[in-house]
Amino acid sequence: MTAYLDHASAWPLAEAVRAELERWNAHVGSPMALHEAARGPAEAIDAARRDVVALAGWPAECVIFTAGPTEARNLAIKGGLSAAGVDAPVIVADPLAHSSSLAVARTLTRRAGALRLAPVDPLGRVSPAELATLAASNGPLDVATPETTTPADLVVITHGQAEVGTIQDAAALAAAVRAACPDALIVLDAEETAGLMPLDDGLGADLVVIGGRTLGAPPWTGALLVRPGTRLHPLVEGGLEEGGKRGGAHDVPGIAALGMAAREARADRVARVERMRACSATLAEGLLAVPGTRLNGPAVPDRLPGHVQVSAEGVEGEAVALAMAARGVAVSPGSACTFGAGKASPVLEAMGLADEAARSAVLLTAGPATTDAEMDEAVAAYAEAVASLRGMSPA
Amino acid sequence: MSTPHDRSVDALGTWCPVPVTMARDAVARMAPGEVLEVLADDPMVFLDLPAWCHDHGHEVLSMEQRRDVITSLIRVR
Repeated sequence: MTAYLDHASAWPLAEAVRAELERWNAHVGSPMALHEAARGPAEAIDAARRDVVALAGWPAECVIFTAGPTEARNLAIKGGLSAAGVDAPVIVADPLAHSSSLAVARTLTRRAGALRLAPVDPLGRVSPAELATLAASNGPLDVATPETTTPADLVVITHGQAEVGTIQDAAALAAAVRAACPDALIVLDAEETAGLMPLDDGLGADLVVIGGRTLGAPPWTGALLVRPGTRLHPLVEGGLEEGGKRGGAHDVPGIAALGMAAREARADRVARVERMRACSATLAEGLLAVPGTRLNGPAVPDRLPGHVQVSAEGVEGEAVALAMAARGVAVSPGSACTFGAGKASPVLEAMGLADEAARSAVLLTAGPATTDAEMDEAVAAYAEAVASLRGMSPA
Repeated sequence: MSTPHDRSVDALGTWCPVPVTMARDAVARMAPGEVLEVLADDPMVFLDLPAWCHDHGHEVLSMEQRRDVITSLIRVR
């Protein structure tokens, strides 16, 4: 690999994070046991708990470790509604929410309740006033669910959008929902922003989804941060682990790595974001110099750090990504979720992007350690791939 | 408005004996005379928690159910 620009899938692990993984992989002993071999793993989990929950500034017991952010989303939505005793839930989200949040919402509202999707503007932004109106009463509905005028039981706010890089004003959205619909549970999906943006007091949400990736931890690690006093039922039922809210043996190496990554990310956040924003600017400048190429989503200073998504006329995004991979450059087609399904991304469709532009989208994501040489290589590979594919297309 | 307590255990969504075990772990970190609140929704706590308290000398101050949530208050021996 000559250039790695797929941090949307996984980040290279920092040395200290990899050391935690290796250290606890080599250790024998369950943190739940009574003997001496339990002490190290138990202390490692306690330390990780403090480091991860510090992202929101809540007490140490307010974190539940999960196997990645998708499980955390499932736990937040299903566990929150179960503890609230809601049989026919009304859930509010937006079409740019992570596909797992939308899948859970559709499953829970399949037979009763409703899923309401807030409109987004051409840059993918949700209006606080429109979200509050939707949460409080009625509004545009997901086509699969029946109409209802019941106030929302749960609202999902997506802080950073993985495909197009949109950053929502999550604090304003949460405040608007809270004012209009005080009983609704608010779930903040911070998978794309944890470690890169402040999440103080969960930005007003009750439950905060954390993924390991943007912290620099393995992508299979994650956590749900729970505002003190928020009630939650477990999704994975078992024993005493995670305060009874997530049964099953702890992934000690993953949790310790997540804690170390959270600690390093908090210490290094400003410098990381500065470097990643500079990468976005460099990449965007180089990619947009290719004739017929457009930037999807917000302008570079307003989008997720390190994130660029572009579409080029006359090519398919998957073909471009494969051509770049053949040259040793790792990027993603525009949507990982619809990859292979032969469909344009529903996120880009919701933002009003024409079908051809949506199908030609390619996503490049840099990290704090991305080099100038990698970006030069990626831009050159993109230009070459687009030119080559256009040359093969019928005129 | 919850009754004053020194520590709280949220065992909602878990089934006995987990709520009792969580109460045990919390009590181990508390001083005599302090009050522990246990939130649970498994009706078995009406039997299991008083039995455990009886065995260990703790006093059950109250057990109340509101909708699905059973709130127990225990004074530590």
